[in-house]
Amino acid sequence: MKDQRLTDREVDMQDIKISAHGVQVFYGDTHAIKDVDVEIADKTVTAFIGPSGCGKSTFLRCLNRMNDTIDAARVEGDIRIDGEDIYDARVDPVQLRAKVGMVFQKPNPFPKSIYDNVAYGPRIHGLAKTKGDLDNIVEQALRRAALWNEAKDRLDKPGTGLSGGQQQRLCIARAIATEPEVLLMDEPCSALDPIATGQVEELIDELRSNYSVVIVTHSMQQAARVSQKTAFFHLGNLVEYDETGKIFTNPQDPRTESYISGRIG
Amino acid sequence: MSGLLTFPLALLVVLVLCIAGYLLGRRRAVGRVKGDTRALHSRPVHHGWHVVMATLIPSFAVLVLWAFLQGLVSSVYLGTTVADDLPELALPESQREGLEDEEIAVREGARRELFLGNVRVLNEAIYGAISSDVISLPEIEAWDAAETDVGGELRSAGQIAPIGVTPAMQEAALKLYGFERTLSAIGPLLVMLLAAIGFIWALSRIDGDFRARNVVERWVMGLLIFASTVAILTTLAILAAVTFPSITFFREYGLFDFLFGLTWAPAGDTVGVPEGPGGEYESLLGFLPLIWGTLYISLVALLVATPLGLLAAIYLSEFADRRVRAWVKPALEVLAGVPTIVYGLFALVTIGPFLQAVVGTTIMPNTVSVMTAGVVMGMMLVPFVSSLSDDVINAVPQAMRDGSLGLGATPSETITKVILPAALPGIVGAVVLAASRAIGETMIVVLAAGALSNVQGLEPNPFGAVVTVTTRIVAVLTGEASGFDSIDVLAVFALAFTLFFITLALNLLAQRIVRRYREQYE
Ligand SMILES: Nc1ncnc2c1ncn2[C@@H]1O[C@H](COP(=O)(O)OP(=O)(O)OP(=O)(O)O)[C@@H](O)[C@H]1O
Ligand SMILES: [Mg+2]
Repeated sequence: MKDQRLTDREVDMQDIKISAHGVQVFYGDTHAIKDVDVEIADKTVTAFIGPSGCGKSTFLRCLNRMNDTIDAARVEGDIRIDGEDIYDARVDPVQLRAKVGMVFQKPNPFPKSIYDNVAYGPRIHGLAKTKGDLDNIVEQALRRAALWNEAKDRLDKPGTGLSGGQQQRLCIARAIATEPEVLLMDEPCSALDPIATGQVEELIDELRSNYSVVIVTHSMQQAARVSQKTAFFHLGNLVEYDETGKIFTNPQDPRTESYISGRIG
Repeated sequence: MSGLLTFPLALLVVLVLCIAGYLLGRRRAVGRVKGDTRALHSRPVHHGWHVVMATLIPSFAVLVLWAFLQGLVSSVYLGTTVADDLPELALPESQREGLEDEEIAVREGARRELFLGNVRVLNEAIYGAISSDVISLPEIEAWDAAETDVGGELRSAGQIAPIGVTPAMQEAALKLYGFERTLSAIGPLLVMLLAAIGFIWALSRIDGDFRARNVVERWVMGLLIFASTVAILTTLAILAAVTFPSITFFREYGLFDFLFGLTWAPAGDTVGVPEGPGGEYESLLGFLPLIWGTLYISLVALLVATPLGLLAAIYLSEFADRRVRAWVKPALEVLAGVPTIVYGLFALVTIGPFLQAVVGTTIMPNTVSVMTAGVVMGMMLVPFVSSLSDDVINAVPQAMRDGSLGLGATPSETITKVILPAALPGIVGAVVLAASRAIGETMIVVLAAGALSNVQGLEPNPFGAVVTVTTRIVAVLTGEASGFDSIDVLAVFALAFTLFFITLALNLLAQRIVRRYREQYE
């Protein structure tokens, strides 16, 4: 691990936002995450890659305690955000999730109007003083999620009436309107065309200046394009976690190499 | 001889033929292709079933037809055997005086009907006496009605028989008896014959190429279609049964007077009813006081059931852990299965006196009242509302909850801002269904709403007694006085008709709402 000096130096320059140690997740008897250690830097885009079913979504959901809603799920280990143990009894998952936003793998707009979908978070958290403020927040969020042009004339129409890709962007808009510090995105571009994908990738890059973004993706190109660090999961293990450039050009583990070159997964 | 040829025996024969036909049909089919079943167009079972159907369907159809037509045929027969110029059917000279020909014809027609009715009853009595082995047919034939009191003899044999049986009556009754015996001997014979013909015919058709499967499957499909339409047909039959008397009623009483009348006072219950001009009681049959009572009680019931049921559903689907849920949900469903008469008793002996003790006798003179019935009916509807709402709340995808919680919403914000709005149409549907049950509910209101036989105006006091549509139907139909063609009874059909339409409309409304809600997630 001597080659990592260069990476270490880069990460040292940034603060650690999330640090996870010895994380295990069980769904009943299924051991879905096995002893994962990872440190996620602030103001960075971190990509999770790995074959389907390897536990990317599961690990992502640990970071804002969404696994709490699954009865069968059990999380062990130590996860800290800004040094605070998020699984501590004193931490309220509600406050945590306001800080750690999430875009889910499957688009899940509420059966409300497009406007109300985006305004949902700001209203709950009292982010807008006036109607004008709220309108502004909604517009900005939709613009950043590259949905404004398609949605501006139908803000009062149900969000469920949008196409799959539009719904995905609506969910992104909804998440960023709440202004989280950390944004977890589970395959946010899986249903998007190349143009919308490009716009969302721009958004992700832009978000990096303020937030820490974690993105799950099945597209190697996307991981390479948008992320600074990449974690490769395989069968519940974190096989390799390094600077994106290194993962894609010089992977240390043979499994990473086979996955990237398309041999497993 | 005729004792042997009965329908039970015929049924037994048909059954045996069916079983034999199934087994033989299968065997024969296999035999025709020398055991190579792949050479058969249809499977051996299809051939077996084909024989069963050929045996059963025609014979059974005749059996059913026979059962329906027997009565009709014998009454036609009776009509033709009784001569029109029978002396005792003619109106006596003393009564003919001063009557128009038309009127005489009407009166003679009535006499004839009376005579035929007596013959029918006598025939039943003869049949009863003979089949219970008290008197034999020759003995009855030997009686001479001019001397023997035929009716009295039969009554002392334990039968219901008319008074004043004349020789002509006796003769007609005996003819009818003989005819019916023949008829009921031919029937079973015909059934057995048809079964045997079908049996042999179907067996003889079995062959490697015979398409038994197609025939069997067509009949099975017919059966499926029949099963699915029978409920609809029943509804239509019910509708027809209440519609025609209702129309008669509307014509006689006046639709407007019925729908907007403020007094309900059928002449069958004569207490305190104003006398009509002819010195007889006149029925006042206004619908408003009844529907007022019904809707008032239903409203109270819904005001109790909706919040309780909804809150229970929210608790069960969003907060209760699995063990509590496993316990509470079945308990609620048991509550839904309690017979309504039990709720009625509970209302009468517990809730009524309790309410009276709380509000005092000046406001609540009786233990029966709108509140008594409404509160208990509400409790009855709680499991109904909660179970349906629980279903619709559970049908809201988990992804909605995740989406809301993931944005930092609290569980209660998630419920009030996302889940309930999403489930709202379904919940409204549940409440509308509950309303339609409340409107049609009978036992609770019979016991706990009040039993005034006549009412004037609309009772505004929620602690006062009211009458409802359903209680009046029960009261008039179980009352003593009215015959089936009295205006009171016709009015009851109109009540049933109106009730049917109100609940039908509510159910359709609920279905539409629920359907719209389903489409949202598809
Ligand atoms: N709610 C659940 N209950 C039981 N097992 C689950 C549940 N969710 C996930 N799992 C299991 O945990 C493992 C990891 O699932 P996860 O959804 O994290 O995979 P993933 O890496 O996100 O896959 P994909 O790329 O297909 O989204 C899988 O084996 C899956 O079957
Ligand atoms: Mg996933």
